Amino acid sequence: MIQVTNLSKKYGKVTAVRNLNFSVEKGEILGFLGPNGAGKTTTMNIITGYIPPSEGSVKINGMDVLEDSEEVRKTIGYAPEIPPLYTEMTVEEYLSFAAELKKISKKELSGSIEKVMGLTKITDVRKRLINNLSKGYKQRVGIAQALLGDPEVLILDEPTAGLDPKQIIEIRNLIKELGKNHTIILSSHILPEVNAVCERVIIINNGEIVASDAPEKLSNSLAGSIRIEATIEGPTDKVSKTIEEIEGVISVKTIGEKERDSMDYIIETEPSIDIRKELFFKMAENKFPVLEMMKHKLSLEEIFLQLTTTENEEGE
Amino acid sequence: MWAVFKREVASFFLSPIGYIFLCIFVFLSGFFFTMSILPQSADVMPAVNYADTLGTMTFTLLFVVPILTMKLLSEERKNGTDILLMTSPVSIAGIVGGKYLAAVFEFLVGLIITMIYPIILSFFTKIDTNVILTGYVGIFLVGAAFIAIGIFASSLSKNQITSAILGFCFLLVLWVFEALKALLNLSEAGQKFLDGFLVLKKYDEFSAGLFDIGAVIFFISFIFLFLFLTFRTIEKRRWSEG
Repeated sequence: MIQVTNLSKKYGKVTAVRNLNFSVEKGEILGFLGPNGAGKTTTMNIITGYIPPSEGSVKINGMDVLEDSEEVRKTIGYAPEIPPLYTEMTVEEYLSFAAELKKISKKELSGSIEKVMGLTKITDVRKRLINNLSKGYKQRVGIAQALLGDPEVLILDEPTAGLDPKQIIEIRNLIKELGKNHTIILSSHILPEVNAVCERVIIINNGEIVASDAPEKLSNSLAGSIRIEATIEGPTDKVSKTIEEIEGVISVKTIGEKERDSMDYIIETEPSIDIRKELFFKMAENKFPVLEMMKHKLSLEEIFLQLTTTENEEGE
Repeated sequence: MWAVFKREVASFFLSPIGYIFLCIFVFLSGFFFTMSILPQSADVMPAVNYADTLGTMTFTLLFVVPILTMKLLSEERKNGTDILLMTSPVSIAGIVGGKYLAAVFEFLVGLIITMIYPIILSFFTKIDTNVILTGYVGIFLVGAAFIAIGIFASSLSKNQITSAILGFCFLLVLWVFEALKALLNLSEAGQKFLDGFLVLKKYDEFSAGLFDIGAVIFFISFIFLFLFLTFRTIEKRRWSEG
């Protein structure tokens, strides 16, 4: 559906985006994650044809965004980070202007506007001047504009910025709902959001992709090691020794006594091997009861920090 | 293109700038009308005089056209709304064209208001309708050419004030072109080249009651040249700045 090949964008000597390659399947919700200034907006601006790339190409449905730009634009709805609103217009006037720009026929115009206002819950402010709306409403008018004409592809740049928690949940649910029959690229620097909404995440830093996978897979594959926290009863030195004998264990640390006669351990293992069963049977064999065991996954947040900070250091 | 045109015209009449423009334009033209007609007695062919008044009114365009055109493209960039236009299935030429025509339409509204002067005049004296009509065609074309320069100036900056000042400077240069030509000791080819920019000189024929198709073509090419430059400026910025 969307095919991004060797995409680079330079502003003079500054490289905003470097050699991006990725594709998005039909019906997929892709999360674009990265710190501020990582190149998310630049990439989205290129995909939507607002700015041309310095190198590389973007194809949507096999059509190049530069060569077939008018055709491509019909299939894309874009909600930029700062909603492109004409503040002297009312919500309804604005949407009807946007609909005309998108070449929606006169017949479908009002139906289409009603529909997007309903979806983004802005029907009650339809007669108000955009200038007088709160930030949350403005944001939603921006999203409503992107939904006009039911484009196949939706590009949403930080769609929940400036919304209150209730609205954020509403917008997330809306995005999930839309994801059923749209292809969506969504950018954010808020991790739980990407985690909650997206099927796949691309982490971008300093204009480069540093990771790309499903959110849960990311935490597995990117963690250097897996940590298991366990509370085991029995003599500490013997237990430690037994654990160390298990294949894949890198290190065992004790972190203290929570309950009487038992000890809390942190076991670091290689990411490719799951030792939990082995651990259980070994302990049972030696009559060291395992009271608690928890596989500690790196959160997306930790991965994100890890990836983006090391990148930064390398860059310097 | 028509969506852009309609929005532009609607926003013009909803914002103070529209009324400021009309106000200044009508005031200045009324001032010139009064000053040039009143001292005359009825027997000195006021019709020809009125065409001269229109000629003087081109001077007002120097000030009012930048007011009219300054926001056309600057405002879109400043508010980030150009992103909506540029990512919609509308070509850049369509955007520039729509905005240009909207400004021309607004100018035309101002011009139509001034038509009240020859009507007033007709109560007191015989007027030469032909001269007045060609005079209006002339001033309309001069205005349209100025607006093309103004929209070009507006494409150069995000800041409306900068756009207005740039537009004013461009028009001023055009205004002093004739004097400039005399100053610069140019070859014949150079002179000819500069002649191509003598927008105001072309007006003279219209004010004499002549409808010169060559001059019309001149104005149209002049307008297209500046609209093309505007288009190129926007294109170029997409590639270099984003």
